[in-house]
Amino acid sequence: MDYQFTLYIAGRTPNAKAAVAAVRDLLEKSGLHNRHVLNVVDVVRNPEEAEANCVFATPTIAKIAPEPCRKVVGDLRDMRMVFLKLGVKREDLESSFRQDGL
Amino acid sequence: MKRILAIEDDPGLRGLYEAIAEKIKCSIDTAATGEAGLALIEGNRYDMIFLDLRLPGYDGVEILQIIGRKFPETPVYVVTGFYEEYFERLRELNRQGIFFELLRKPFRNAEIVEIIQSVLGESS
Repeated sequence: MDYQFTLYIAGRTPNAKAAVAAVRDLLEKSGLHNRHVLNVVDVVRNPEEAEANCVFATPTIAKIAPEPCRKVVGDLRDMRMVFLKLGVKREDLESSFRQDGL
Repeated sequence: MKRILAIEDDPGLRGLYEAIAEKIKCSIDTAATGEAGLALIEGNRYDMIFLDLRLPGYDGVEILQIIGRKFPETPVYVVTGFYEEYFERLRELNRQGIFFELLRKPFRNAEIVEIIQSVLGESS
């Protein structure tokens, strides 16, 4: 897989479920739909995994591969912007943009 | 101006919250105990709350239960070490439908700023 992401959430809260759904939706609609792995870590259940990966707060999404590893913390509402901040190439997100008429 | 509450028994960290809030032009109240924090919550409206998990008197979990029931829309960041021993009671709160976000302790100034600006907006 070209891209690997990890999403860190604090419990199965409505906000966390919405974030997971939004990430999955964008990935499925984008040019990454068959080129990614998404792991979800519930930090309330597994705090030490967050500690081991230097995650300091929830929610956080990290791009693990390709390098460099990048993280976006906190507001994940604008998912396209989040993925651009993570360093996903704009052309890889193109399918998503096109479907939305952008 | 956005309003923040920080409930933290360490005076050094309370001072740090106050300095950061001043820098990014937010209003902040701080409380050294759970009881003092509850009194502030009852009499004011806050846009976000930082809550130390380990407090004298009412501890962070008890405060979180009260905030979760009375003010479920207020974003609360529980501030704690990311170690298993601290989390069993937080899992129980999740099961009760009380929600929160997490901030690892110790933290850096830039991390607090990033969280505040993410929750309250860049203009905060």
